[in-house]
Amino acid sequence: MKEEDDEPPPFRPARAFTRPSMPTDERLRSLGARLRSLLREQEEKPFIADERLQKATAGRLDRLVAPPARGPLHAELEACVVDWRADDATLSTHLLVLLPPCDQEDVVGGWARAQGHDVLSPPDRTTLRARLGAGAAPLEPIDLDGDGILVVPQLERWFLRERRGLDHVRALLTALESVERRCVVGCSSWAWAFLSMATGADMVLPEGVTFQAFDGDRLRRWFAALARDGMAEGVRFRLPKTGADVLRPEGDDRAGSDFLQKLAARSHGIPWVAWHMWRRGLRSDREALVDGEAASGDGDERDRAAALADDAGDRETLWVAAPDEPVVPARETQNALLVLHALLIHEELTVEELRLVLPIVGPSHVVAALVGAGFVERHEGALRCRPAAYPAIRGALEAAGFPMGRF
Amino acid sequence: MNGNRGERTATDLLNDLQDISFVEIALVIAGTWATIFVVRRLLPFLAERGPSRARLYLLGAVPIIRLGLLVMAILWIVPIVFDVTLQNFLIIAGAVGVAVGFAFKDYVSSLIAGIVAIFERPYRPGDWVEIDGDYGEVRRVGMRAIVLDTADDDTITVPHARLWTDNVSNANDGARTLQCVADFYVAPDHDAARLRSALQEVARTSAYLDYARPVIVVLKELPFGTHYKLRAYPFDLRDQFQFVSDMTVRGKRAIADEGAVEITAPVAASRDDTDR
Repeated sequence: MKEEDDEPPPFRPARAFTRPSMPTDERLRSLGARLRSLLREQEEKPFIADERLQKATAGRLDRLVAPPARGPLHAELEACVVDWRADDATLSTHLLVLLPPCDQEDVVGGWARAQGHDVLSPPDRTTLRARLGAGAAPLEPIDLDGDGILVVPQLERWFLRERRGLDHVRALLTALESVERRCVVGCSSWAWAFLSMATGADMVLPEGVTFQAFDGDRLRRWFAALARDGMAEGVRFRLPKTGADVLRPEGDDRAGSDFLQKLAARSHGIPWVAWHMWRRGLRSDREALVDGEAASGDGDERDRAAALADDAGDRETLWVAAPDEPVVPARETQNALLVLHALLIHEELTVEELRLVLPIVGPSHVVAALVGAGFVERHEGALRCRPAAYPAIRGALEAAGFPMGRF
Repeated sequence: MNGNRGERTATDLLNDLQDISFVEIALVIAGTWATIFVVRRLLPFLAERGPSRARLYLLGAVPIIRLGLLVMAILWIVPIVFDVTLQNFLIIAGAVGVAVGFAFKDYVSSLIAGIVAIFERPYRPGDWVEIDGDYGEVRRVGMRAIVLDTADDDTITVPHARLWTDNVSNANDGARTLQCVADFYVAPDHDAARLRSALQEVARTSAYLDYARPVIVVLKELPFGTHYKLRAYPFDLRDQFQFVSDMTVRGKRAIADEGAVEITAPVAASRDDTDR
């Protein structure tokens, strides 16, 4: 509760972003678990059997883990901008806010609109595509003059990674170079890595700042607040294996779970990734366990059911399953990775735009395979990476040696 | 008298037969062979499935581990068979020298070159090298020869002894990337500054590009036109041919968009200039 009462954690330089670490080396632990499962004939009995759990409905999720997925970032960004405006010693009139990809809420744009700042929206994709053909006329200079702060959110939507697809972002950088007005520019870290190389954007804009990584403690406070807001009488989130209450604060005798710490590490400290993984893992009990239907089970299960009923009282219980990671399709792996990389850089693309920015030869059904595997989702005719799949995507791209975003 | 001395020397050189543990020798040989067998299969297996950044380290470790194991095995077996003294060492060295000089000169030359190659590193597994016109990836570095896999899926065996006589051109020298070059020949009548800029943009927007390396476009005027070389690096050297193809396809489109015209030239006229 301390953080909620104090000032929001300040934004920091993007290079200082540190991914939360696992409580112990998770790889060794999973290896140990695999070895144990080989040696043991029977697994330890879970607190509640997996077959009794089913995915929570969308309505229930929206009530208990309500959008938006950005957490307290608007408040933190506002605090950052206030500090920046008050700092007379700063050399640059611009503030670059670097964010991880899959920012479906448009954190910077949403904050700017909420604060009533001028917002320069990116050109639509039709405009960008119109420049790709031969004979496009030179762009008119962009006029950024005006009063107050100008906010340029989603720099990743200002270009297409094609030979003539960088004209708009170059025109914007040229305008930013000479404008004296204070500007806040938001950009995905993956797009920024590309733009720094292709356009020298890092020479125009200062070093980026970003939020502090969401560790297990921050996630616990955030998720607990979401659940409190969604249900007056409260809800309990428990692990199927041990029955431990995931949101119980550290130091509580009945906590006994490092689930959120692991979730923070798996989600790389990114709030919207953690939020989606959290939602994906929530399960309901098929049989109303507390109603005593479990009496038909064996002795152990009856005892557990009784313990659960005593412990839960009148409160609703949701079970938290470990997040499952999607697997890259075994065929056309290189094409699949190229598609995922392009989507991370551009945030979202249509199938036709993917064809423009990728060197895929001949017909390919790799997009359908990625949608089916849970990496990519369709949204208003375009494709974008699923936030919950981002850790798996990042891992696969890193292993294959692709150029990476900072986070 | 001489016969007795020769018999005594031979006896001194070798340990008594009953003292030689043939089982131990067999176990050392079998163990070394088995370990080398496992290393030669396991490390390349892990290299192809593990992180890209670890690939060349894993592949490059194979010949070093193998050499280390062989040296250990020899140092283990020699004292079992021979009574190791300076005098005996000189006798063995002389005998081996004569045998090698007459029968296995080329073979031993390749073995020694193989040892030199491990330390000098003109090539390592995973490197892309050109030796006497053959360009390919070093798949294996053996004791006597290396095995190259070419882009045409040919397998070429090159003895290490070629190190003594031929130039070895190594395109990546242990790095994860290498420079790729796309060549374009354009009729002289065009705006070279615009085309140069367009070609640079072609490489910068390629999906295969390594962001950390430079993109360079150089041009040279030839009697029959302008020769552009687009030089850039892919993030993974295994993508080099796709990368060059991508740059070529989009470079041709850029040339057409800029109103320039590609030309062809007689091979004899361009031969001197097409070398990388």
